[in-house]
Amino acid sequence: MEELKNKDLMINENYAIRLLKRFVNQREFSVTILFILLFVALSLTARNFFTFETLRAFMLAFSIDALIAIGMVILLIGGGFDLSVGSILALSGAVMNLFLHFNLNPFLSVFLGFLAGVLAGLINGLLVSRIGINALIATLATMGIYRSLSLITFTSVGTKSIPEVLNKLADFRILGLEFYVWLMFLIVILFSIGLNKSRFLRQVYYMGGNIDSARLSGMNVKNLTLINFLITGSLASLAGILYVIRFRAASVSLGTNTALDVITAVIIGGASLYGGRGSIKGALTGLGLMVLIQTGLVFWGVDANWQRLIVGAILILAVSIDVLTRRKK
Amino acid sequence: MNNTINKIDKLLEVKGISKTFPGVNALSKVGFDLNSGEIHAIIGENGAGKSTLMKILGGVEIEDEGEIYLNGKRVILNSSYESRKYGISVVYQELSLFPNMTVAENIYPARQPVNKFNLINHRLLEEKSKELLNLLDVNISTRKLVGDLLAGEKQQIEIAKAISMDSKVLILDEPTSSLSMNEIKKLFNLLLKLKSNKVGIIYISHHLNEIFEICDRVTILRDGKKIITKDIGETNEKELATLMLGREVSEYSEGVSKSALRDKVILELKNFSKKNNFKNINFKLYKGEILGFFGLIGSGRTELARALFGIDPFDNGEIFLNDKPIKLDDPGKAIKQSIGFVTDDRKNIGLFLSMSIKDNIVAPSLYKYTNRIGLINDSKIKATAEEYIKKLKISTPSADRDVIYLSGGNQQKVLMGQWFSTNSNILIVDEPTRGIDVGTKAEIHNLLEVLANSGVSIILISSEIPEILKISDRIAVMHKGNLINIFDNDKSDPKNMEKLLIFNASGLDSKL
Repeated sequence: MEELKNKDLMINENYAIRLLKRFVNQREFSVTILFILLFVALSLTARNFFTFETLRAFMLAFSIDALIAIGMVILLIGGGFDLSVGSILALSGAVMNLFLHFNLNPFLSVFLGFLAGVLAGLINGLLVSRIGINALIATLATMGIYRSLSLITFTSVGTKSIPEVLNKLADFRILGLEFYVWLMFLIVILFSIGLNKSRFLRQVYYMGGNIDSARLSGMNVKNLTLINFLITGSLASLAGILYVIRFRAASVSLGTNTALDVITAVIIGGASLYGGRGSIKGALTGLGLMVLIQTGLVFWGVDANWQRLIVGAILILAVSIDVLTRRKK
Repeated sequence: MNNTINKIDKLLEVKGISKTFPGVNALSKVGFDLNSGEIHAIIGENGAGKSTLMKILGGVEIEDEGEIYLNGKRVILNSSYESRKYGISVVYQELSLFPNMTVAENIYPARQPVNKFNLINHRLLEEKSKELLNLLDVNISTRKLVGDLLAGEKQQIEIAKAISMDSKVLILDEPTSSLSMNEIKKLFNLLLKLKSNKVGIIYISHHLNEIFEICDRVTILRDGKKIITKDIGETNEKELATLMLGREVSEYSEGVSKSALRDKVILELKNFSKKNNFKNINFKLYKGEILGFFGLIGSGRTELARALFGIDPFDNGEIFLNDKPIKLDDPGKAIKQSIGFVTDDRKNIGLFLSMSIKDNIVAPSLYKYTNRIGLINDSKIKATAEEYIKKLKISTPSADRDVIYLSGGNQQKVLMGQWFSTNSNILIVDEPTRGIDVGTKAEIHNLLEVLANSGVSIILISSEIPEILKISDRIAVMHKGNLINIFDNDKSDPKNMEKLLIFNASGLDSKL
């Protein structure tokens, strides 16, 4: 009896150590450390960095792309991929702009713009899950199609500033932060719980781990894929609307680099292109690091042309460390 | 004097070959010979040493001792390159063709005829391939992609490739396992053609009837030893089967005798068919019984199970569950009807290797671990995982360990845990102990018997006769997609049962 208790105790202790090791081994951990180091360095060396205004600017730049990063990481975990998020973002803004041009009710215009993006995500999902086109190829095609559609809309009606009521919304702050920063927090919490705790989203990890085993285990992998694309499209669509509200006008060039930037961030944050790995926490840390580098370069007065070089180097570094430590095992 | 003449006559002579793998005597002092223009069968049960012998001749494995003579001269076969250089070609069960290339490019891979600029001469390549195929009476366009060919045609291309290298000795490993009747006929014609061209052929097969159709002599291996070589005219199927077996009865006697209740049919299949896989399958599964499915590779058992579980579609037929017709076209539906499936392909379609034991165990029954609003209860998952780790004696430091780091036997137990924890009423178990050590094997057999005694109906697909005989209540035998017969398992006379199974599975008459 006594012996048994000791054994139990030992197992618990080992478990704690393993848990710690597991945490340290995770990519999120090293990226978080990098983030903190950069943050401290900036606070010490750059004037006016450690202020509420900087934090606010950071959150502004971070929050809307964070929505897309959440969608992208869910897709990647499930073994999917979406190149068209930037075009969906532009499309929802363009459609909203179109209806505003015809003086439709502002909120109805917002809703219809959002709906257009949702529909775009649905089409992506149908192409991949029902017809069976490879995700990369399907979204490569729709990336061009959605972009064209938004350009056509823009050139036919032109860009218009948003009406007064949406202007007021853009200025609406809670505790000094814009409403969409809070909206981002809400969505982060929702999906973090969902991915960890909801049975439906937990299946995404299984699907990314081994799609054939997932099917044999009774999971509906077709619907799961469809819904993943729908989630990503909806979040990208929401991001498009928020961008228009934030900049107070729709823009032709919105989201041109978004897809690759977000994929970079999500992979720096530990997701794998082969599926099965990744987390919302990691995706947001990866994105946070990228935004911080961007901010840092401004504060240090470094030419912005360096930004992509640095991000590229960090991507290679993060993935190399991962590959090398895995090979050792 | 006599001896030397014999040696020159003989195309290939193998003397006293032994090979030991850690813990196993795969071959001990095996010898046989092959004449040119002869088709020589090598038969034996799984693990008798056939494939090791073949690999030694193919240069893939190197013998510990023994000698190999070709045309009376000693040869050393240290690599597959050496073997091929001496004119020995092996056509393995897993063909090694390139599906994305044409027939001609497959026959001459990296040996294509070239012009003076070292560029491929496509016309000559086509001509040479056509010539070769004509010579072999093979009627396939040389420009077709190999991926578009039928199984039998692929095999013909593989043989043509071997012949293009001027092979004197052709070794075929279970060449008919994936072929239809018609394709087999074509293969035999091709082999007879080669035979008339003085090629010596070693023919490895489980199908006794084929051996009587085309072979001249037969060598029987058992437990790594050569039993005898016989002229085919001097023996019969019954004698060969008896020579192949020769196992002591006591090996089977562990099974607990249990009279299955057989009062309630839980599952019934009627006229279940799928083209090229299985046809007109009819059987009943009773509550609490273990129904064994025995057959050779390609007999259609796994395909039948996959279609029943809804992984693959089937052409026609009906499934009745508790006397009600049901539609199963998706594993999810089968699971909802309380059917489980332990696959024989645990790495590719069974486990989630990069995930933890606990995630793996609950995968098919995730719905059981949620509360009212659909959120997962992790502590419940952990409790179940730990319960099955204990029950199945999975050796691991914790339930959080990724399955990829476990040994094969423990991975197999996790796979069992996946489906045991679903508490299904019907469990289809495909080759549950393949590649698993003896101790674990007994544990798994015991678990299956306990499950059956608790009322679960089990379909056990196995290629191992002792396993089938040990725990089945009834045994269905399949041959080339047909359900030949269903026997009550007479556990008191395993020797006779074994003969019955082998005869039926080989497509022979059981009344011999």
